Amino acid sequence: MTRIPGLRRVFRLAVGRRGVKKDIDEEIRFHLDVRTEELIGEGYSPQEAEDVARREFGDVAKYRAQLESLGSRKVSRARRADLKEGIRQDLSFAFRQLWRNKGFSLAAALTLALGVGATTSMFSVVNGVLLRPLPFPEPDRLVAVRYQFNSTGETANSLSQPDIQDLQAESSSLRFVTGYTGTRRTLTGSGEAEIIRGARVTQGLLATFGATPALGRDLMAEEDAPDGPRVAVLSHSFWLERFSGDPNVLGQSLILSGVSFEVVGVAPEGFDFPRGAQFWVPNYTNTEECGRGCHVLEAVSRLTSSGSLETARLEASAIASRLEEAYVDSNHDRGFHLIPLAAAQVEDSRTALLVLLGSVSMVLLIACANVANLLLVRGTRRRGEMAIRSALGAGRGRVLTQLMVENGMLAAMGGGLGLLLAYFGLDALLSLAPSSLPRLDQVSVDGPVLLFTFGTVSLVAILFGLVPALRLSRSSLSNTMREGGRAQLSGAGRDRSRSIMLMAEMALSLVLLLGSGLLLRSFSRLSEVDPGFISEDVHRFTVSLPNAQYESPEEWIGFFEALEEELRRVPGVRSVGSVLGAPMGRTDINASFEQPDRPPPPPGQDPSADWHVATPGFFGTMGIPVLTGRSFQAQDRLGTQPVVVVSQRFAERYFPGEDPIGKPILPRVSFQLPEEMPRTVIGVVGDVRFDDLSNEPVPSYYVPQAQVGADFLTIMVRAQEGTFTRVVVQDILKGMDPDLPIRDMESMTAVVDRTLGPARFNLLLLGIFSTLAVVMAAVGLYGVVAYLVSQRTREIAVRMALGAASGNVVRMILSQGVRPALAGILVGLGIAFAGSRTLEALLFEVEPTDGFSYLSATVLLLMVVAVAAAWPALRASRIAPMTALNEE
Amino acid sequence: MTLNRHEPPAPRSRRAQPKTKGDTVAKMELLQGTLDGLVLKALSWGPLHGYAVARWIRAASADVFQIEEGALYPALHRMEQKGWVESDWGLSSNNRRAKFYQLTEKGRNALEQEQEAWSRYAAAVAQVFASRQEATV
Repeated sequence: MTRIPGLRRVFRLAVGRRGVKKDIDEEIRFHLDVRTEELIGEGYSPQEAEDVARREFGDVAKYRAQLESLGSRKVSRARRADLKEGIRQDLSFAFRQLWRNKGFSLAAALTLALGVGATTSMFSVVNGVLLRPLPFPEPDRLVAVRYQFNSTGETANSLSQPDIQDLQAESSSLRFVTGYTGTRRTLTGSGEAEIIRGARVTQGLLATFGATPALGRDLMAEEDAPDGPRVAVLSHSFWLERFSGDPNVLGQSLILSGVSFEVVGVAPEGFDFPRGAQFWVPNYTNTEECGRGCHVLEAVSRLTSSGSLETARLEASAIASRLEEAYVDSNHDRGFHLIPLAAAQVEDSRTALLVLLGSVSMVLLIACANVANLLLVRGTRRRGEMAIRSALGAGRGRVLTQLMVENGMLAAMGGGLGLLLAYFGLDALLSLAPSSLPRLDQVSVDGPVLLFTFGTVSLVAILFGLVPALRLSRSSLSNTMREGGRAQLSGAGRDRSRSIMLMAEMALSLVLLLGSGLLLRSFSRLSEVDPGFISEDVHRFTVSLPNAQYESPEEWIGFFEALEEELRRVPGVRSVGSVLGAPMGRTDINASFEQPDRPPPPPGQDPSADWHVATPGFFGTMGIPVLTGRSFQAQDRLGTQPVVVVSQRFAERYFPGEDPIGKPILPRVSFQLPEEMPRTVIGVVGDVRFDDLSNEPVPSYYVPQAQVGADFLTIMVRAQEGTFTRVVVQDILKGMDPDLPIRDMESMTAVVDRTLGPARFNLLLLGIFSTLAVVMAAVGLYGVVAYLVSQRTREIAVRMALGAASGNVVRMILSQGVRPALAGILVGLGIAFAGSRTLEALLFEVEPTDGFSYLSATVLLLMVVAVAAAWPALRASRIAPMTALNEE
Repeated sequence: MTLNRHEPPAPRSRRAQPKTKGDTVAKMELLQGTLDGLVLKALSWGPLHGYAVARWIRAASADVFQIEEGALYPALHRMEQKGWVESDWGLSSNNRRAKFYQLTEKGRNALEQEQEAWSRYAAAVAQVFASRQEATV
């Protein structure tokens, strides 16, 4: 009897379920046979013997079933144990492998880390800004309400209060329609005067958002009346800071711009709408003064629990049509436009963020391709190892598993480093982000981001690892052995997958390079735009006079004239002027007007233009040229002839082909002085881009401060560099009224520069991404060509020994490495062209198919290709034939 | 050896609840949980195949127990999975391929415990039957 206990386990030979069955049958058969033979020996007939043996044994089928169920349990247990043991072995083996090739592992992990890190940080931003739901109950039921002009499809954010009321009253699927407008007030009565942001609302915003006040109550619709009670709701953070979280804050008073408001409520923690609001007060809507034609309120609404956005839209459009008929003058062409609030908040940044996320994914893909190429190269050196493994009985699946475990470990290392990179890089990214990007405070590396990274890393492991692993696991034993362990010129298939990787890298690099080229061109166009004024050496700040202390327009006129006079006396100050609706100050007032010398236009189609109040010094200080006629002078005051200055575009649109000087205009805006009077055009000035650099100047007209009396002006000061500071302004204002805060003091260059923020952010990030991409692609190409050279050293040596010119050798090597690179560039051009529309929204005065950009991106990448490939190729041409051959 | 339709239950020597269903004297049913002990004892002399185990039990018990021989195999396989016995294919005395079972160290310990438990149990039962004390309420 031979017995080798435990042999089966030592060699881990597969014991399948079928083997178990066979064993059981054999065991039972043996028992019955032996017993039968014994009985025959005792004198039974063979048939009887068999019957007796079976009877003694019992129910054969029953026992076989019992044994089989026991056996299959054993098999699965053994398999599980095998698997666990296998994974443990694979992990420790993988770790040893990576450790042994520290250089390779580090290079691969760092490459992946760059890709994963960049992708993760970008995704954090996208997640925080675009994906995370608004921090309100049932955020998907919140909608922003706007106008949409039926004729052009353009939308406008500001609505009139009567329209808002009608929409709320008539729509059954909108629960609240709340008008609001951001406002800033001077806070006094507790320490130094300070300007704080808040909002005026037509009814409680908290109710609209479904938020419960932390203390007290929400504002009520009845409080929105011209003589409504002076009540305010505070933001949670403001309550903590200013009132130290005093639970008895209700009933206390808050002095805002000289008016006392009674605190009636505190918003819940985190309620932040509109962004940065620290208090909410009633709008005190006066529909006599500001009626259906007065569009000053933004609106937000909540869908009822039964209402859908679709039905709400249908209802709103029906209501809008009725309003259009009933109020032709004001509502002609106006429809309502409802969009989810979350989308409304990010619509400006959405495209840019998605483009950036797409770009960063391309970087990640390139990183994957690079690592895949590294693995392919390393694979050729491991073919011997794999062949031995399969010779010892490891199945292909087993080898594949082991390779994928190695790749997974590599990916995990890269992912971990990448996460670290993202964690620290995110702060840098956020500090670059323009302030116009909403909800940045909600950007962090959190659960969803980690999940995303985990998913990315898993995908990455498959992307870079599967092809090399499949190839390697297919290593044929006989071929490898026949090569005698010498790494030979690898098969065509291997070359093909390497070429495809290289091609993909080049294609993606070209797309990214082209994208950043286009953004760069767009950015330089944008920064070269003439805003219509000279921003250098100009500072601006804003002063708003509280009406409680300064009651009449005459006082306001006097105050600002005195302030300008004081400023002019400061050494270094060259000129001073003031304006309402300062350039790039985001306070545009669009006002319609009549032309008394013309036949009236059809109802609802009054001409309108941007309306500004200016002092005589404004145009000179800003360097806005007076083209014809004159600008305002000191004698244009209350009581003298009412005058108006128009912009060039205004003149071209409303006085085409004629001289506007001396023509009458009747602005329909009633500001502080009630009388509306026809004004005579006295001059035409140059156009100014009031909004930002990318928007064309709109027709504008200016009325003199001394004839209208604004209580709120932005003062522009042109001064010698370095002489004009905040302290100077503070001193002057302190002498005039210590309770007046300075608002928004800034140099105009900074103001203009800030409007470039989003464009700069996009350019910078895409620039970084494309640089990363190109560097990685270049390294990849270099690696492939260098590998080719090293593989063919012997062949090259022979060729050179036989008299091949070194130029020929270089050409031969180059053609192998460069051909896929060139193909990749072509493919990239195709992809870029096909996807060019994606970038359209981000470009300024540059076509997404701009030839120059295509050409320069291609040339640049070609140069990179040439350098990356030529380096190793040249080295090949210097191979000394004898040395190389002797090495073999 | 006569037919018996009772399957020997899984060996649980400690928790063995003696059932005395068949009170016949001639054919004696194996008490639950004792089959394992018998098998272990059979193997304590050295590796055996299943049939040899059956033959040994029959001989050693003077053919008192009524065991279906087929019931040995689930018991053997179960004990193998518990690590009490090991098995391997070898050649029988008449040169046929047979599966041999061998006691492991663990199995040897188990056998000792079985024996001890059985002795205590039998002694306790015997003591009860010998008792003359009257039960009081």
